[in-house]
Amino acid sequence: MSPWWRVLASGASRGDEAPWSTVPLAAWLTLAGALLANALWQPHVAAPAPSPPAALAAPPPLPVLRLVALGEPELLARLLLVGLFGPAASVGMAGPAAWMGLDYERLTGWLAALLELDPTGQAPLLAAARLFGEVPDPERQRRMLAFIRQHYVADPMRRWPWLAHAVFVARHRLHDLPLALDLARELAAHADPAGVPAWARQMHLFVLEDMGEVEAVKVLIGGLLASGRLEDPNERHFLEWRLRQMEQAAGDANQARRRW
Amino acid sequence: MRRMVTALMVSVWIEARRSGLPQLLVVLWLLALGAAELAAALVPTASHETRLLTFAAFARLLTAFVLAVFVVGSLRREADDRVQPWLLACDRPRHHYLAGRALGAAGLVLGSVVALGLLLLPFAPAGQVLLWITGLGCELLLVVLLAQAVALAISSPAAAIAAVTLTYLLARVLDALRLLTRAPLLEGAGDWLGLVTAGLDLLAWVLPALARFAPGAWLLAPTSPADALGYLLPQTAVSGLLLWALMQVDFARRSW
Repeated sequence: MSPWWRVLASGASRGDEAPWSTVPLAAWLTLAGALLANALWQPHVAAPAPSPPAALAAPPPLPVLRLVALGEPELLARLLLVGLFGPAASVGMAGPAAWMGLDYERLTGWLAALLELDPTGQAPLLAAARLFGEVPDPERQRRMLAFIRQHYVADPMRRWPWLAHAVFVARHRLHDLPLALDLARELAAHADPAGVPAWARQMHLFVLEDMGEVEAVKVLIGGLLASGRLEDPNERHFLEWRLRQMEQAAGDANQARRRW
Repeated sequence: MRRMVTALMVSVWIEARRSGLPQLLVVLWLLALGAAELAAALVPTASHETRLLTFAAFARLLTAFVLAVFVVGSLRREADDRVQPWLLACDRPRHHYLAGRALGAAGLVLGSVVALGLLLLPFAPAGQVLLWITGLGCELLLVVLLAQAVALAISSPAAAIAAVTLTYLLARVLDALRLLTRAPLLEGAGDWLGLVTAGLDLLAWVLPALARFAPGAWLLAPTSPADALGYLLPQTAVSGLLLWALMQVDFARRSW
């Protein structure tokens, strides 16, 4: 009988095969010699060595990338993203230290190209926020935040988490409150209450509070409450509570000032 | 022995000529050259290097594929036309048949790489072209031997071509896959990674790492021939011998 894989491969049996004993001794000896030669040769074969990370090239034009994608731009976008942080990772430098060697201008170009290839994909923005934006270099961090901000507007419903993260980075890592406020305002300006949670839409209020702009926050919260745009009762209660708290804090501060 | 082997070898060349294999290869290389020109026109810098690398990569893939398909198709047609059993009924050892076919295919490989080398000469220094086509010749030799072994073992041409193509692609990406499984990015990926790594290491014991055979970098910059051939020639000999031995054992059991 033919082996099952042969039958499967051919769709039909090719008839009987001669027994193993019919194989000439010379053929067996050749096979044994070949296996022995392979066994002797293999220890001399060097294991594949990673090549040193090459400088990141500028991204090719989008039509070229679409051509190379062979009709699967989403797949190509994902593979290219792996390629972006693969070389550094392959030489044992995974993490922020590895990204420091990258040309961030070109990197931004690549991430934008990947977003163009796969507009619904989150990976380029995630990479910008959580990988390439984690480098210990404020200039590079700001570039990543600008990238996130620039591309948020095209699809706020999907991309708001990355802009919210950008607000966090600007506020707590860069300690740049005006930038955080700017990003938070951008987030609020395009956020749809149906898809973006209240805490994200109201981030600019908390940034303003951090900046000591209490009066501005009170005005904004009051405006929000009066506008009737807040349909969720919990959201309304939270903001009313926050407003009361701020007014109380402001009153206490005034009393203390008068005692002086 | 010599007469049967020579006759078979020449019959392979005649079949290749009559089926228009040389013309097909030339057309495909010209298409590859067109693709290379397009790539060179699109890149902002290093257009010459891009042209050379693109042409080399496309030409290699197309030549390997066309030669493998030719070998599989020729052997299957010979078997289906009952020529193979008739030839083997002659009072000759079976390995004469295998040798004749393999030498015929090797001749096609030699002709292909020489023609490709002539096409590449205007674009790169002769020494670099010579080294590159030597690597490509070794690679293509293993491809046609693999195609012959698979075509003799599997009777369906489609399945045989698929098997050769997949094995070839696997051999080309084997080094990259082995590096990937050891990348820090995959640390802590789970037990499956250990299994995959072990499986790839086992495959590397059998399959040649074809990515090291004729890298495009050899065309761009001078490479030490000793370093390049130090891996290339022994690996080709060992892999070729292994394929030859497997083919012989498998073919000796065939009965019609």
